[in-house]
Amino acid sequence: MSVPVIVRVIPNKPKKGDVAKLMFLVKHPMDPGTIKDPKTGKLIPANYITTIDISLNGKKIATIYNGPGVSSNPIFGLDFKAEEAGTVKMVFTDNHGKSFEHDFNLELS
Amino acid sequence: MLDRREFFKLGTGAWLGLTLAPILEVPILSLGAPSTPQEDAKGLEKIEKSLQKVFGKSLKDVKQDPKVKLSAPTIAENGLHVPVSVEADYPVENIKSLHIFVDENPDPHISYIELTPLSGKAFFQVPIRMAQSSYVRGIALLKDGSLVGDFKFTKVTVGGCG
Repeated sequence: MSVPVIVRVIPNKPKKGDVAKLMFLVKHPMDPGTIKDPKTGKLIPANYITTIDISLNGKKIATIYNGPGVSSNPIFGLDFKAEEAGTVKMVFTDNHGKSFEHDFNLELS
Repeated sequence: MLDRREFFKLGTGAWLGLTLAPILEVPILSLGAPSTPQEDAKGLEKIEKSLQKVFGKSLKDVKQDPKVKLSAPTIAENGLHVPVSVEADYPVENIKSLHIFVDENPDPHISYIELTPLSGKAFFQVPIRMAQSSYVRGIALLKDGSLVGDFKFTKVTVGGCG
């Protein structure tokens, strides 16, 4: 399963050791399990991302835990310390236990 | 300086207030005072239960702290998408996690983030669903186990939980 993820680091190329902002959009319906389908009138089964693990070169930056109350196609924002250039890896897990990954290259100026 | 229009507006307002106040038995001074949102019992019960489940503490243990900043809209047109962010002005080593609660939602515990020293600064932004107008609470759990937070009332015109 692959889900489109759009990532932006602000500023684009942070200085070494600075605190930068990491924002990312996940294209996901995030169905909470309480909303009815307008066509059939039945409840749409719950399907949402529960955990997001974010790490830089294997070192953990933060973990986000979600309940059913997060919007569809959410944009998450957090801060991180740009200590070294490398790959930032994000591991998403949904409420069915399925997981998918997204990684990108972090460049320093 | 008052111009003519404003003068007439003021005049009619004062006249209405003075004539209607004795009839409606409303104190004249309170007519202009903004109405403060009330925490209703149902929402308080829900948030109390949720806080007990998550931290094992009650709402009274959460200290309101100016160092924690919650930004949420005062009026949200669409309950399906309400952008909320929490920021705590503490060294990130002292903070364990940042939580977002909404009193009136079926599950008040919306989302939280666990921070590490690599987080640099305690900041978390997430768009949330809101069922109805309610208090939004941004709460930071410190390393010593104490809770600090910032509360804000958000009015929702169209609910977004089904």
